[in-house]
Amino acid sequence: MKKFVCIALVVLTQLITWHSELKTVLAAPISGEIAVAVFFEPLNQGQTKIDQINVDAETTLQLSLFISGLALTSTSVFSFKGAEFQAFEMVAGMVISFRNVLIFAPNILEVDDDPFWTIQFAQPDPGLVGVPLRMFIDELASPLDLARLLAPTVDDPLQFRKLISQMGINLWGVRFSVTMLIANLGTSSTPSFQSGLIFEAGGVTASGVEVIALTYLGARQGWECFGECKSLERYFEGRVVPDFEFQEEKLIIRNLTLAGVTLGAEIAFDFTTITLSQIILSLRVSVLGAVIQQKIVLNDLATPSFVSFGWTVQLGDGLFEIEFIDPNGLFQFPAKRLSFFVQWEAISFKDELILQDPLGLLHTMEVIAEVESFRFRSQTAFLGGLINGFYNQKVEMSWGMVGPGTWAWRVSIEAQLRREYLLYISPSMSVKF
Amino acid sequence: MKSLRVLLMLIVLGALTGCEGSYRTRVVVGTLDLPTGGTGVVRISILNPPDAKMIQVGPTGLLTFNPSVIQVISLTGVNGFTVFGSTINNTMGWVQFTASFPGGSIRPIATMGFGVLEIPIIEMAVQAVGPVGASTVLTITAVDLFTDRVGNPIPTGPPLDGQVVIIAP
Repeated sequence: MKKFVCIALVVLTQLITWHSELKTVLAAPISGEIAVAVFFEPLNQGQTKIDQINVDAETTLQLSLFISGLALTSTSVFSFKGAEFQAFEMVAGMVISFRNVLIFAPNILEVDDDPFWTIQFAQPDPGLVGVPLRMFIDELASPLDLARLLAPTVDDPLQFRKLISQMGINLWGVRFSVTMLIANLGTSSTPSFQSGLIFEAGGVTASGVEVIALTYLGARQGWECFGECKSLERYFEGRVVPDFEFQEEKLIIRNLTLAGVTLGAEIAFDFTTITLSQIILSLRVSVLGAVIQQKIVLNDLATPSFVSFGWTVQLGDGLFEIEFIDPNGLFQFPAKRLSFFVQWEAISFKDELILQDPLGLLHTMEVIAEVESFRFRSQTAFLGGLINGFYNQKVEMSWGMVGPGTWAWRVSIEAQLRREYLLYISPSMSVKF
Repeated sequence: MKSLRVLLMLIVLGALTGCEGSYRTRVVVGTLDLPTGGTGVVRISILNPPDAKMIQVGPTGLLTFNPSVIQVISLTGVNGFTVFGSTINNTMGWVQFTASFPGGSIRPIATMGFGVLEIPIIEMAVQAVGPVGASTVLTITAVDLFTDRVGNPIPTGPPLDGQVVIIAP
């Protein structure tokens, strides 16, 4: 009953807000962007002379209206299956700010904020729980793998999946905000609504120290995504959980400088277990031109779960970084990252070595060039060998043009080679108007 | 002087290319300290996995252990892997299994600032039956089949052994 009243109040607030602002919005100028990308993947990823191809296409349409302090944005994503994602976002306010996002999608995924981005919940779920989403999204991934993974979840028609409603106000330099989350975790025939609230208070002191306090009620840290889970379809405000109860309290302190040492801390308290669930301590100090940084993540006051320690040194145009990492918090540092970055005018080069005990090795080299409206990026990866364990080659090129008026055009092409075969090739085009 | 530079370059290239033998893909069995009578999980991981999709230990290969120290309860796939078949012999002390990733494959994750090069694929639940101080080495004698996303065999180095040590509760 309590949950029903909460949902009804939120829906009523939405209707009143949208109705009052719709009159102002009509006949306003529209700006936006349409982007079309096509992905081609060889059907038989091997060394064949003649092959068939898999094709995936995605169109994104964003339309925006800006009128005297009010911004309305519609984001639509289409594929061969039809509409896969629709979001309406409204941002308004001067002293008190409002942000409302209504999301319609055939699916919903709840993702943990761990290094693997493990899927915690999916609806529909063709066996996605426990799958590391990061494996399908990061730099070395093929977009077609992600499409293939989530294709069985976008068969249903669009339905209401999430409402994010935020209200914020600045009082005496302190920002107070409340975020209401309502998610539909049910099926198309049997909706199931869960709600959550996140209270936030924070500000920056005269000396630059930032302090933020967050209280999670019926929600936890993490994120949710929809459709094909592309960047436009991810929302990081938090994820709802069953039962409308106090879940977490979080305190964040940033930029606290004492005797030249910049400190930061994030402390999370879990109401469900009555324990400190996470403590993140960071330190940054400059010594003789080198920047030393340290980060420790503790599960509780005595149990570290992650430790990193690194130096950054600027030598001429080059920037050297070395970082020792222990993802288990045992201060044994089985992982090391060494990188070198240099930039000459429009061209930059980055070389990075990742080493992980006992014998893990990934070597990447990246070149980025931007000359007027032409952009080029190349990333080469070697796995298990410094320069002879070739693993991946990614190339991106794009060319843009501005005009007439506020219109802007950009055509791009990207391709990825994996070991001895072509992983995919993708031409795309975007138009801003 | 020029020939010296060329020689130096050749030495560096030789040193770099010579690393591949030791750094190639490996199957890694984890280590565990287990209180006597207690249960725990040993992870089987892939190091430097170039799109690994399917692994099979058996009919030739075995994952061996000392059955007087631990007993294997079950095998479960993680990070997208599913164990499709397994044989557990707690009398002789060996396990055989076949597992794969139906919707994809695993490979290093490289966008987190540091990357993850060792990806766990199987969790093996074990129970301590030996006395405090006893230990057993977990050895994969051979990997019968190990293929990438397109079915090509992945060349691997010898599997790296794991260990379970029984400790006081």
